Amino acid sequence: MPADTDRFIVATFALWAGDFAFFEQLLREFSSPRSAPSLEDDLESPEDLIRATGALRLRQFRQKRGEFKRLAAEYLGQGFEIAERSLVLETKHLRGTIWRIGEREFSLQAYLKDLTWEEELFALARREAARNALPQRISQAETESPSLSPAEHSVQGSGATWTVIGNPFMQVELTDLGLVEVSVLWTESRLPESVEEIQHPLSQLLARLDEGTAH
Amino acid sequence: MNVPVRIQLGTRGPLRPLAPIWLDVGSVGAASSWAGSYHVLSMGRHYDDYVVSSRTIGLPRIAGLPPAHPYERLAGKIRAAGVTGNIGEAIAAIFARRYLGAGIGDIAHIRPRRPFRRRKSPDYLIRLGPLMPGIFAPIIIPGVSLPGPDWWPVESKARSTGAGSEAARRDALLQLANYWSIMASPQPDAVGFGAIVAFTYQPPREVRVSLILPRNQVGLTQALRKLRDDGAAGELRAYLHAC
Repeated sequence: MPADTDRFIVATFALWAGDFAFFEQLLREFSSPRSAPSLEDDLESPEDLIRATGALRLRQFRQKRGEFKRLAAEYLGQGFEIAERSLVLETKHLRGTIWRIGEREFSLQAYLKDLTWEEELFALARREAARNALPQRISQAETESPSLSPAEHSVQGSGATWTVIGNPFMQVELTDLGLVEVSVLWTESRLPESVEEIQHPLSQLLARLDEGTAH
Repeated sequence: MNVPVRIQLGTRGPLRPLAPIWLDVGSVGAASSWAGSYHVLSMGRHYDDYVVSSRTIGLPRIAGLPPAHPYERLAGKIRAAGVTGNIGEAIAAIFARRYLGAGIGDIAHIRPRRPFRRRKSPDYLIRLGPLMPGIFAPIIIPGVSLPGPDWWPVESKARSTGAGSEAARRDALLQLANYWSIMASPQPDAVGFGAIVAFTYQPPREVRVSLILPRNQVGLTQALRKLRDDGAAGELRAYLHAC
C-alpha cells in the first residue's frame, strides 16, 4: 500500500518540522489496532512494520504532548501564553512551520507534503538559488585542495543553498530529502510588530518553491 | 568534504570503489536532524566540529581573521554519542538518494525512538528492489536472484575508526537478522536481503556499503529461528554471501 508508506514518510517530515497537527492527522488512522498492528504483533509485511512504527510514533507524540501540557501549566497559571503549536504555512505541495528562536531570529522548516512534487521542488530551488546568486570570493584553500570542495567526479546532493538579502535576511538550504531549512534574521532596529512581517516573505519563498511564482 | 565510497558483497567481499561522496554540513545536518534518534539543535554545526568538514575551512578569507576551527574545543570533552549516532543514521538515506536514485518516497526511516522491547529494528526500510542491481551490478555474483524484495532493511552507522565500523557492521547484521525473523514466515523470499552503510569519520575516512544477500534462504530461516530461541547468531553468516 504505497499510500500508507507515503503517509508515514511525510509524517516523519512533519514531526521533524514540528508540524504536529499534520503529523497527527497523517498517522491518526494508524492508531487503530485494526489498521496498524503493534510492533510486538506478528507482522505480515514491510508495510505492516511501517504502519506499526507510525502507530508507535503517534503514541510517543501523544505522551510528549501530555508532558508538555503539564510543564506549560505552570506558566499558564502565571498568566503567560504558551502555544502547543507553531505557525504553519501551506502551499499546494509543501508545508512549513515558523519558529521564533530569539528576539530577532526565526526559522522555517518546510517539507514536501506531496512526494510527487520532488523533482519540481529541486528544479525550482536551483532556479531560486541562481536568481539569488551573490558574488562570492572562492577561498584559496578551496581552489587548491580537492578535499575542500566537491571534486568533479564526486557525488553531490541535488539540493541548493542561497541567501536572500534584505529584511528579513534569509539563508535557505534545500537538502537531499527535500527538507527546507531557512534561517531568518530580522535586521531592522525596530522589532517585528505583526506576524505578517515574518510570514509574508516566507510564504513568498515557499510559493516560489511550489508553483514557481509568489502569490 | 569528499569521502571515498566503497561497496562490497557481504561484510567480507572485496572492496570496489565508487566516486567519492560530498558530505557537506547542510546535507548531513538536515538528514541527521530528521533521521536521528536524539534531539540535537544544530546537527550541521556538530557535524562540522566533530569531523572537521570543509565548511569553515573553505569559507572566503577575511584579512586578519584566522581561519580557526573549533575542533580543539573538544579537548576535555567527548563526542556526544547521540550526535555521532544521529550522523550515522543519516548516511544511508543520503547514499540511497545519490547513488541508487531512490526517491524521497522510497526511504522510510523506521527506527523507533526507543528500543523495541523484544526486537530491535533496522534504521530504514528502503525500496531498493526496483533499483537493483544498479551500482551493485559489478559485485553481484552469478546465481543470486535479484531484484529481491521491494523493501530492503538498511542499517546505517558512523564510527570514528575503521575497526569501530567493522564492529558496527557485525552489530548491524544482527539488526537485519531481527527484521528477517519478523518476515521469515509471511515473506520468506525477503529473508537475507539487506544493506549496511557504515561511515568512518576519522581519517582514513570511508563510506562503505555492504550488500547483504542470502546464499541459502532455507538454512538462514532455520538459523533465524535458533537465534530467536536461544540468541545464537553464529550460524547466520554461513547462509549469507561473503559474510
